[in-house]
Amino acid sequence: MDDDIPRSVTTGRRVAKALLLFATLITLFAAIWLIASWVTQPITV
Amino acid sequence: MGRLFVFMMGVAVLLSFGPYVLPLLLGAAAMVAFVVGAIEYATATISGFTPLGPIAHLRIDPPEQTEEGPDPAYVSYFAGPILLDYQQVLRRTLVQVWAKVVGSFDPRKVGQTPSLVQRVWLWVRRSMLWKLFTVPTAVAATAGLVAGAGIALGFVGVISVVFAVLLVLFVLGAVLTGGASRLLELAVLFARGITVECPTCHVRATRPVYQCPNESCHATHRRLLPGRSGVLRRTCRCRQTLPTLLAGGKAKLPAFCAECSSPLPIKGLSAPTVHIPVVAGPQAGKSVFMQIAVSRLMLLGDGFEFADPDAMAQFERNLKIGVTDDPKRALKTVVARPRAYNVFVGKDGSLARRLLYLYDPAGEILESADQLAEAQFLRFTKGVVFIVDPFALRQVRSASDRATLGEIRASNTAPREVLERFRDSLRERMSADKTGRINLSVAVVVTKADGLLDLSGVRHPYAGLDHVDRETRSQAVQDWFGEMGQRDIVSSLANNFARVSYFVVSYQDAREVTRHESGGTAVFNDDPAQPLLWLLHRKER
Repeated sequence: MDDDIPRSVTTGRRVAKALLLFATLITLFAAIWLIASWVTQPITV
Repeated sequence: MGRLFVFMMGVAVLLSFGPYVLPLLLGAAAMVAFVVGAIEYATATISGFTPLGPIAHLRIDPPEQTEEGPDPAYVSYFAGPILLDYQQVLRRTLVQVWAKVVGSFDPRKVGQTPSLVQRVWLWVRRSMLWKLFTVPTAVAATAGLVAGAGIALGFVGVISVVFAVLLVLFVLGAVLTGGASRLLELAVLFARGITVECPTCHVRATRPVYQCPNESCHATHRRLLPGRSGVLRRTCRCRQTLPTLLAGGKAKLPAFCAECSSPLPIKGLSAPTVHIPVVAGPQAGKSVFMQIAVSRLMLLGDGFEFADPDAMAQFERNLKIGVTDDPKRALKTVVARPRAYNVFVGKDGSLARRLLYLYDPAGEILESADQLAEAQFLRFTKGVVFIVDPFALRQVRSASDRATLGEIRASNTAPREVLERFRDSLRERMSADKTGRINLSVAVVVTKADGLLDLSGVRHPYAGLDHVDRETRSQAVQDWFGEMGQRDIVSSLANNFARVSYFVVSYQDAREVTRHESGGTAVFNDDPAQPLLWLLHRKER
């Protein structure tokens, strides 16, 4: 089965997973940062 | 009355605690749905991008090999297939999240495994608790679950946008790298003057056709460059990976001329080419000179390498029949378009390395002005070896008997006639400098020097000459030409060509330049490789 799949595809999929993980981490951090900014926003009286 | 009282109490409890409990319940349900969505997304990603997963949906199969069609190579994964894989990931995530939280889109799957929302309402139906409490609870839970699923899908959407941006940057980076590498490659080739010409049809091969080196494949790739099939490497239909740049090893692939499909020199485009025709009339000794010159180049080392299997085969054939031992065994050169004899000279990887194109045109071609006019190889000439058979000169012929002339296979064509025709042909193709000379180097090689060792009435050009420098030896040969009544050849060469040097060689020095005797004095011929090395601006050996 390994021989049926070009190496460029197997390598490409690994790279894609890494990119997706990186995108998820960026999104998570952005979400946390936004929530933290909102939570710590000074209250205007 | 009692029932009304209980109902009113229930409403009171609901209104008292409801505003606190129901939002908490909604939040908790949303978190559960969000976690379910995250897990489904992670699962879909892992299965969608699993390296050995199915590829049928990617549509990357290479096209069939055709004359003018696209190359038989797989499309690069990042040129489109990655988006098809991700499309599957998103589709699976959406379907699974909705199926697990709300309910399946597929009517065939309704009722098989209840979704979270369905479980909540099942609980409401089966619960013994008062509907006044269970229904609001279920509504809150349902709202939370749907909101949670929506938030999870929204999160997936944002990740997808960030992923797309990263992908674009990655692909852009790869394209720029490939493009810049290709431009750099072209710049280096231009700066170093590296080109490759077809040894058969003599056209400049600007777009060589490369062949897959896989023995069971041999597919041809007409456009082996960074592109949709890969930036730095591409995958041939047989799964062999091929470099798209010379720096990646493309020069080592078998290459063919796009015009006539003849093989190009091995490792072409790795060194500048130097085209050197060996010019003389029939039987002057061109082929023997080429054999002994190449033999000496090989023995001298310095990165010598055959760039053409045919050249190597021809050399070995001549070696086998003993051409370097007896020049009479040399086969007559066929009167056809001459195919270049390709060899590398100079250390591999050094700037001094050159790919020699040695042309051994049949003497008959050089005798005919029409055939010379068609000689395409003259366009790229950087230097010329002009062979002079001393036994074609009148004075030398007079001093020789018939047997000697037959033994030595003397040429019957006067060198001056060949020179004039060749000069005229070159003037049609090349411009002259301010002095009216063609900007070309000519190595004049007097062959068959072994025949001059014991000839009475005619001395060897180097008789009485010790080891002296190139200039002195060259002058000695010019003086010898004068003595033989051929001063006009020397004058013609000096007046028509920018640089001329004279050499004397013999087949006897094919393996090693040795001492010879002539009239009681020691004589050392020139190394047969020296005319070529001089044309390549090598140092005196």
